[in-house]
Amino acid sequence: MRSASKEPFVSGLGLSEIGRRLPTTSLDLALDSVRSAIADAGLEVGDVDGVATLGDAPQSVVVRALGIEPELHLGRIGSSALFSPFLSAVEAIRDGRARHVLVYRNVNMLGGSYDPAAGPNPDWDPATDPGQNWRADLEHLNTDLDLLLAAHAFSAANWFALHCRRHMHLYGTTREQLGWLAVSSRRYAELNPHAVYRDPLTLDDYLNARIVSEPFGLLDCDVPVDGSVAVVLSHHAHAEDCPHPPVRVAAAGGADGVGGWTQRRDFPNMAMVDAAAQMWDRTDLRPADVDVAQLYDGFTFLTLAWLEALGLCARGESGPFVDGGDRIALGGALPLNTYGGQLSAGRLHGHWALHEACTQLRGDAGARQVPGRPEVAVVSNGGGPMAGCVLLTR
Amino acid sequence: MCPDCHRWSYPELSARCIACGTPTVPARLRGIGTVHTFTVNRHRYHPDVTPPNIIALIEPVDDPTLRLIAGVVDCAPEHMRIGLEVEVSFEEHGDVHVPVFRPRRTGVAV
Repeated sequence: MRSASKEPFVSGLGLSEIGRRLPTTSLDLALDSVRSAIADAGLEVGDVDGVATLGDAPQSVVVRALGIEPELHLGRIGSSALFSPFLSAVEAIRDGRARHVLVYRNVNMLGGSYDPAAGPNPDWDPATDPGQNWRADLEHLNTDLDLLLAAHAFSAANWFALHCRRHMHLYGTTREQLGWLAVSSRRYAELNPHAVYRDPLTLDDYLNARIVSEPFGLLDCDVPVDGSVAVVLSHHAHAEDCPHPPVRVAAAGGADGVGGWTQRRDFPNMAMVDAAAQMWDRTDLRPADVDVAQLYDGFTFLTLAWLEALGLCARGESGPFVDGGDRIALGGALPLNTYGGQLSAGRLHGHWALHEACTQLRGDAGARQVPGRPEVAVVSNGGGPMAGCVLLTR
Repeated sequence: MCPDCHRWSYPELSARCIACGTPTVPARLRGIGTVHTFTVNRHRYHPDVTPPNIIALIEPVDDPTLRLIAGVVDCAPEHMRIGLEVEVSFEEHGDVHVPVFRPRRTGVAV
């Protein structure tokens, strides 16, 4: 086993301005987060020799704006879905291909190009923009998507509602239990100045929200935002010069996504079950060692499913686990989605969760800091055939 | 369907059985089954589809491990439940016949 002190570590964290329908371009949001992360790592822009991203602000455009010419360009989606750029950066540093890799994820709530006025750029080159075709990279997972669309299931809200309804049938999971997750997330968001929705939310508010696709209402769905997250990963030699305690990857897991959205034999299980099993196979740490969890919440139910997949509670017990909210609150046994989650803080495709896990392990989370110096954090990303999870330690 | 091990090829048609490799042959499902799970969609995602519309996974009696993705019609949302017995019907869209399911209306033994 490799010594942890020789492993790559998270040296820098950066978050852009985050909001709904911001006038700022994606490029400026990306640059905002990226410059923050590099400075946070105690580095100069010129120290960066690798970039990894997928999403709305192409890296060829970002590196040009930064005035650097890194040799390493990463961003293809591997088995860990949206965490693949982050994990491929860890590998690259471990293999000696780079010393400081910048990983960023920019999300534009209405989609589109990096600059809404600019349109698609014919110069995008797979060699320097490997993450620009990330949706095509995921196409092989959509084995049953055409049939879903033919059945007029146009939205992920419809698809995951099928899983959620079956879970309710098998285990007695209730809408109130889903609601406690939304309420808990909002309580955390009230403590996070960057979160988009910070007004208090009650269980009644949740239950009275407009129904989208039964059993999901509007407050089961995450909040589309404009924003960008950046993380710098560094070679261990930089640890002494880094102004922060190092956060390292203890293990990661991914999945092949066989069965698509609806055709796994063990439905309503999803690919996350395989990703979690792979992660735990690669570490001596156990679910009971986890001090804080940042689990994907594109829909409330996905977080319940991740709690079970990761063994943080028993199969079928995620509803009672979150019921009432105490267990997942700041002083509870497992503080969960402590930045407010995508449900209240905003949807940055799992990368805000990654940022928050590192922030908590550093002890820099301010009013929402988990007490007792957390040492182990788990972060997860995805639903359906996509799944990636990462175990972080300090 | 695989003529040897009777495994169905779904959702994608594969030329050979994914379990035993035998070339598959077309086979007819009986068109009846039960609801494995469902959702009543209430949001307008498409200009031509007026909510509420029901989407379900159907277990056909021929092989309950199969889960057919289909819309459910002629059923009030409040009458939908897991385990509901349904039968197939076909909606014509030009040359395309889209299978949908509706609550079973006859007591024909399965």
